[in-house]
Amino acid sequence: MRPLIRYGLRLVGPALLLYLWQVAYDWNLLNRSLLPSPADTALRLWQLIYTGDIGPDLAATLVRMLAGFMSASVIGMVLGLVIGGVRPLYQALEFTIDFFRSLPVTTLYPLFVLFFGIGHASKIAMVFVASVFVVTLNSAYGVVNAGAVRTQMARLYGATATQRFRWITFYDALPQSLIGMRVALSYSLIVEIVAEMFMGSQVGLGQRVFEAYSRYAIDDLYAIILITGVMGYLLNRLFVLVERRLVDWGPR
Amino acid sequence: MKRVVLDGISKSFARGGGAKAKVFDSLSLELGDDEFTSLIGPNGSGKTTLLNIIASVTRPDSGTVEIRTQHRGAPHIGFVWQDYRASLLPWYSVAENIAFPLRISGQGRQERKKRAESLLRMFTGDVRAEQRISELSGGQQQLVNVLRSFIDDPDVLLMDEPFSALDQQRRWTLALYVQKAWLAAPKPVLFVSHDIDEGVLLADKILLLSARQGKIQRTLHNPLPRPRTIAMLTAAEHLACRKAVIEFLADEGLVQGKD
Repeated sequence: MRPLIRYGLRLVGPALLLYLWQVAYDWNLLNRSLLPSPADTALRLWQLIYTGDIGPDLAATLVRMLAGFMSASVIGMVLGLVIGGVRPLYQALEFTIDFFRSLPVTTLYPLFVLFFGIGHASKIAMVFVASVFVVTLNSAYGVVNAGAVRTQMARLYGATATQRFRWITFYDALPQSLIGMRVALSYSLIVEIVAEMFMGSQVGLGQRVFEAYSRYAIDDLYAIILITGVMGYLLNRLFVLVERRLVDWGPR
Repeated sequence: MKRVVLDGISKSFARGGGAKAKVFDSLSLELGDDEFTSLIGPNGSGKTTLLNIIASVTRPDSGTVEIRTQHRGAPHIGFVWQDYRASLLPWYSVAENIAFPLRISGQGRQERKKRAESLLRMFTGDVRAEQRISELSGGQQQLVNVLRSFIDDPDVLLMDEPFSALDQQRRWTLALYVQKAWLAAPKPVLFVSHDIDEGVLLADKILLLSARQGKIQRTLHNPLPRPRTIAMLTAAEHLACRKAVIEFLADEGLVQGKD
């Protein structure tokens, strides 16, 4: 297909959504006090961006979320590689890690407030905990399922355990680790936004959404939701790009 | 003295219900210094297990494996796996894959690149040293495997059905590549094959491994001159060996359609 047509087709979804929104507004299908017009929302969106009003909130959310996500990715991957590499350790810890991965981190919300207060540390810690187990588990899983023939090959040619780890196991486990990180990235944004709403915060997109809701500023609410959505989307795209750079071998 | 000597090898594997399946019963074999040996046997006769025992991947229950090495320290063993995809490192270039044994022994990047490139140039102009494994065809990937097995001047070369995942034409191309590499650097080879023609054509000596007896039942000799060519598949000497192999396999119950 020609690129122009392909990109054109991608716009069909958003255009349709916008059209339906306009129709719903025009015909008053939904209560107008709950659904502003697309034009009003667009105007508010533009103001928020143009005046730089939303800038600090965007930055605060992004920084806290990425701090939690990145530390969870690094620590989770290291833990996973070690746990996956030592079979008894994997068997001993798999259940425990799986338990904490399955436990919704929002359940632990009171504990985070008790331990870390309601500042940055508390939110970053919550994002970290939400992400670290899924990364650990996927990394460990990647090591456990790493190609046995490759390891046998390296052993046959005399590779030490360190060499096997650096040149084979690490790469073999990398695609699975990245799958864990991609899931963790989604968790991170969700948890950060929720934490901002409930813990309270000076700045942050979640805080702004909640604040718009309390003021009953419906235009603001929709505009900030849109900004958050676009940010999440861009983060995911960026991650896919990085992933392709890192795993540039073989069929994807 | 022969370079590789196996003496009195016995090996059993645990079967379900506490039963044991005996694979080898006091098996002995020798590989001559510059001898190309093929190993042919029915499924379940333990051909791969035998290679693994020589490579000390698997331990025999009893018996000894002796490999006289020309290197300092442990013997160098070259191995070509049937599953070429699973034994290559797709995150490295062709050159790094071929030179991987050199990397393990601590050779520098320049040296590795030089050795891999010179080996590659001997065989094909189609594969470039800096290419990725995923860009190669199956036959080219297996060639990388073969060249890797040669690069560290191994004391013995073990090949486990290296071409069985390839189509007929690529299979013969690779077989002749193996012969070429081996003629340039002769060393003992043990070549396991499912394909009778391939096993006979490449070999000086053909070992027939019996599943029932768990040992080498017979040794055939292929006296045809080197280098062997595809045309020799119809030579009287080749056909005589081929006949003996088929009779052996029939005797082992393979041709009754049990395979």
